Amino acid sequence: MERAAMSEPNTQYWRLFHIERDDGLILTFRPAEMSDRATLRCGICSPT
Amino acid sequence: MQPDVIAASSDNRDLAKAFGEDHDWAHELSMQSDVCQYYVVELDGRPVGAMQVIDPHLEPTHYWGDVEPNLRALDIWIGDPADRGLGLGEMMMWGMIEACFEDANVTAILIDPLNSNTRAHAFYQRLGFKPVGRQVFNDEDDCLVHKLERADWRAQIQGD
Repeated sequence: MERAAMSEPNTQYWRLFHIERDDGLILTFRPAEMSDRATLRCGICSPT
Repeated sequence: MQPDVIAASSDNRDLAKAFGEDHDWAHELSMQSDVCQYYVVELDGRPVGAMQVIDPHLEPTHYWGDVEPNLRALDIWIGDPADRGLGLGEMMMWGMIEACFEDANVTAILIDPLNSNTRAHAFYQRLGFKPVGRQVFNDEDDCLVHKLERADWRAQIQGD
């Protein structure tokens, strides 16, 4: 597992970043915004 | 909502839906601050999961009670059952753990799986988390708190 470089300057504590797996799969982590509430309610509110 | 999702989210067996009908995401998101943040995790632009990271010492609801400073606490969700079993949860945890420990002041990370969720315990322990004790949250959720010390995470990385 390899941590990619930050995508934005470290000007705030919460920021966009990525992680890349050895097989090339990349996940993007982005701070949630108010516009994400429908997504969170309907799509990804299932705890592991 | 999948039965295992309900089982993973609460000890209240009367719940028909994980988080209940009154879970207010608009409120949750409006409460975000420099000590509490949700992340949406995307694969090729598609949301596949979400995470919450808080400073449990400073977070205003004091969900964790009295805890030492300089910790982080995580929650993780994966949405579509079809996205499970692909290693995304492990990858999400890797990413967020690394992000937390980039702050040199952070000494350890907490997570609170239900005590009954032995599958989650095994998942977190594979990442280096160690069980530190039972704690009841929200007066009903009996959890086995796990903690990942910075040194244990570094050892975990070097061992891979």
